[in-house]
Amino acid sequence: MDLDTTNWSGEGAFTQVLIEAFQELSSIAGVRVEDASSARSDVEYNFVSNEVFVRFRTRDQTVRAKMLGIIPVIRTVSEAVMKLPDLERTLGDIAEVGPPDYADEGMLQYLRTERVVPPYQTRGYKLVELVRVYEVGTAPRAPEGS
Amino acid sequence: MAVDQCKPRVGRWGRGAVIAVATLALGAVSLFLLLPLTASTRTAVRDITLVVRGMAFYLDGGSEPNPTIQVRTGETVQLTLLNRDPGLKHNLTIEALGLDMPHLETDASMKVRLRAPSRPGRLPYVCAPHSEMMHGVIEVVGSR
Repeated sequence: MDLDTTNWSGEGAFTQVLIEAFQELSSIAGVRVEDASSARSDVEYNFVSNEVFVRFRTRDQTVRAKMLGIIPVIRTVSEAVMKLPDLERTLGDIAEVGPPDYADEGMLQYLRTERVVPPYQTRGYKLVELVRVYEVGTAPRAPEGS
Repeated sequence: MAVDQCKPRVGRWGRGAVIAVATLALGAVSLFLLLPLTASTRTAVRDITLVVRGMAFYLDGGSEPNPTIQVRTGETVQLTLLNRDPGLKHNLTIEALGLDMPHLETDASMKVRLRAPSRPGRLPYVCAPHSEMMHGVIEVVGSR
């Protein structure tokens, strides 16, 4: 599997879990991970927002068609071996990942929150990780300025 | 003879024209002086749209998360909240103004009309379920 993390800071433990899960799936040809523009942090929280673009493996399939509606021809078409809803089900069966918090036809969304209390501190901060998984070629949601 | 008969007619028209011009000028001056008074008493309602995306509030078209919004004392604003965060419910709560919107689904919006207090101050606004990350301030400044 090709893994492109050029535009990822590496932050996000759950994102790392997802990448490891993707590496186990033979139907995935490549994964690109990027920091989302909405990632930010403050005294009270650290909001990690990552976008993961998944490229599925394809298989060639021959289909019968008719040129000009008369002449029978055989065409070869490439078809992804998996779709996003299939990936949702597959990930849902993996204990460390589980079902997404939200899914639609073009995106799977995982939200993980935990309170982190560093040593010698009493209050700590809230760590929120939002991961959105898209199929390669899909435009990410809610771009800047929309 | 003809010239003599014409002379008084010209004078009468001249006086009329002077009176008409003077009346128009007086009207124009009055309008010029009164217009700002009528404009200042008119209360225009300003539209402010807050868009939620990526677990933060943004002014419509803006890029600063959870911005400070300035309003004038006593100003009436129409505030629209638009939730553009997929799969997440958000609301807007301004405790100081007694506003607590219901939680909006994705792509839902809600409008409220608010009147700023008569004294300058800072009014915190939050999204109740995500108040640690989604909070900003409405700054009430004195009218000029």
